[in-house]
Amino acid sequence: MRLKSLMTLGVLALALPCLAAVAPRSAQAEILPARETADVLGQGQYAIGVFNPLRIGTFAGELEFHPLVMLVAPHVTLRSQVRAAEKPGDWRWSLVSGLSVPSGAWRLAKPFGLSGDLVPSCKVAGDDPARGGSCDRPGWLLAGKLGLIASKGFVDSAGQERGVLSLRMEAAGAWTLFGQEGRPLHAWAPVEVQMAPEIGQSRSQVRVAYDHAVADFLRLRAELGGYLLSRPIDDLTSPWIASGYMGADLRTSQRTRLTLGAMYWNSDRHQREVTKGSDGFAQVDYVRTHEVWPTLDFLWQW
Amino acid sequence: MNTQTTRSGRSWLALLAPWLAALGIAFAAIACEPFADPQDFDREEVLVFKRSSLVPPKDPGKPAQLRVVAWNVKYAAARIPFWFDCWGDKVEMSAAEVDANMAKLYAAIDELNPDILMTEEIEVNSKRSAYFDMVRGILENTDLNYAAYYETWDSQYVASEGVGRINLGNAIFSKYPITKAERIRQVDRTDQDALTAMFYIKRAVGRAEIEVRKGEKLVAMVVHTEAYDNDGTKQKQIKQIHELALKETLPLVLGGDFNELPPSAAKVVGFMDEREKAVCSDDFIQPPYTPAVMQPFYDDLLPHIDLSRYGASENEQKRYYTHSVLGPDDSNDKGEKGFWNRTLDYLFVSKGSSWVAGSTDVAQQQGQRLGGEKGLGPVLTQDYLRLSDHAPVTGLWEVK
Repeated sequence: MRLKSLMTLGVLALALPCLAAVAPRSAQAEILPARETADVLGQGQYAIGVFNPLRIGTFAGELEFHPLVMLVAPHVTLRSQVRAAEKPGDWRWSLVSGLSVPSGAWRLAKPFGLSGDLVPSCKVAGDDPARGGSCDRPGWLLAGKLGLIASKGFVDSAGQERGVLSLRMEAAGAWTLFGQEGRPLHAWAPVEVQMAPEIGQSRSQVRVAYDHAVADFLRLRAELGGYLLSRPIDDLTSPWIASGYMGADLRTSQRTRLTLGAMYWNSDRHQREVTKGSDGFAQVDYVRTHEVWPTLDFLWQW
Repeated sequence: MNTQTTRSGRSWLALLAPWLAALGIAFAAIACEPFADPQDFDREEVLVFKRSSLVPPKDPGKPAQLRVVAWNVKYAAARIPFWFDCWGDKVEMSAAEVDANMAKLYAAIDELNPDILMTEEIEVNSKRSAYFDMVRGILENTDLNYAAYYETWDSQYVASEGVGRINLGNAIFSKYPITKAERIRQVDRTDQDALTAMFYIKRAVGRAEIEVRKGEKLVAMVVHTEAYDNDGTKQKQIKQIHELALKETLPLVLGGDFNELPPSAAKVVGFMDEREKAVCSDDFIQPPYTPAVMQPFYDDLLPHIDLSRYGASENEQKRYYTHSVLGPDDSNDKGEKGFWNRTLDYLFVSKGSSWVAGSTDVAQQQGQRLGGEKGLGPVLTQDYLRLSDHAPVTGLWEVK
């Protein structure tokens, strides 16, 4: 796995200078703005990524949703600016709130939903309702979240904001309208964190990020996160998860950017290690799991 | 190379370098768990587990007589209707369900009192069985002192149905010291796509050398062959097991779930626990049995139930059936209660050793006398029909 990690690093190390070489040089006076800060899109502005959600600037703030997921799992996040920056380097604050009804996605099979992947498909209960008692699929849920983002800019000697420090605090939970809560997925950490409220668990998170423009067209970002998920009483895994991110955003045109990086996760997934003990017999230990995931997206903003 | 500079005049590459270095050091320091263990070996030694405090075993006698049991324990799911059985949708048990089912398995093992126990579908760290370490559980709650666990399926996360982490395998338990344990890889299925194959079970033969007295060793082998392939994988695995058995120079007991009928099976299709219409995945449709592949074992080894005792009719053979997907509290589409309806589990020993008369049997149900009406017993008190979808097979093995 170390080899894979080094290969990832190598790809990153080669890709960044190469991409920089082809990056547009015209109109470079404007610094590529930082992402995921307390700033919200202005009215009439839009942004979308291949994987990132559609963001729409409205009079009430910024609306955020994934258009393709919307049909089977209606959801929306609203980011409202509580305090905007009056000049570069100021603190700014925004409030994040969101609602989703994920249950449709748990009931529809691929390609529209995830039934049979991550959660049971309950095919037998569907065809033979008399045997439906052993179906453990999450019921109909309403998931909600509420959070706060605070960002502070750092200006250089020319008065331009090159660095942005952001702090994000958020709590999310779900209310079961019909049926039952889902069991924890115990999936890969990013999936576990993302899906916790969508199966009926609660999730609290604190994330701190620093984003710095090393050139007008290139930003580097580092982030640390801590998460607390709710767990049923008989669950053996720790509810605490930690994450770290390092990556870069590269301007590819006046309206587009490429983001790439790697995310590290540390969670308790009941990983077992068997070693030879001092008596010559097997000895079992349970350790926390490390995961490293590449991140990549192409974003448009207009 | 681009030499754009920041306003401070430094090359941005110089700024980038420490970030990349930090990233590299962090990545290199992280030893990530593979998504699924590819079980990349042909034959490898495995570690032996020991009971925390040993229970001194009885002297095996001369010639040594050892009670052996082979049992597919269905990861302590007892008769809970799991999704791939197509009679229910269960994907995961609670810790309380597993604890209760394990307690019943301990009681049954105590009753059968094996000197050597071979288990299949035993789990040590699976989400569906509440991460219960069943090898440790059996060691600490029965009189068995040593165990070798042969992992055959170790996936970090199986997304299908939300199965999650799985660590399943076969095990050999013994009251006497296991001096060497190794697993021998079996061939894989070739009829699956690469992604499915990556996260699928990898079959292996478990082999243990057991020292019953100073300098007196014998070999136990546990097997569990493929159940759902359509490319002849199971037949290849069975052939490989036969070849391995014939190569042994030490006295051998071979046991497990072969997922195959005996060569003289009267009923080979249309089992009562099959659904009349497909209600779950095609992946779990039973392919046709090929009983002839078991004949070489009857020719070259000694079965615990020989074919003359097994009989020729369904009515005679029913007494030795070892498997049913449906338990006695459930009924099929015609309303028939579940009961053992085919033989898939076996015990064989090498020629030169023997089975003690009146000792061999299938532990099918409460009230049954092991070995038949005039058998050596005991009369069973545990409810074997409700403990697993397989019945234990057992016999007293005499090794000269």
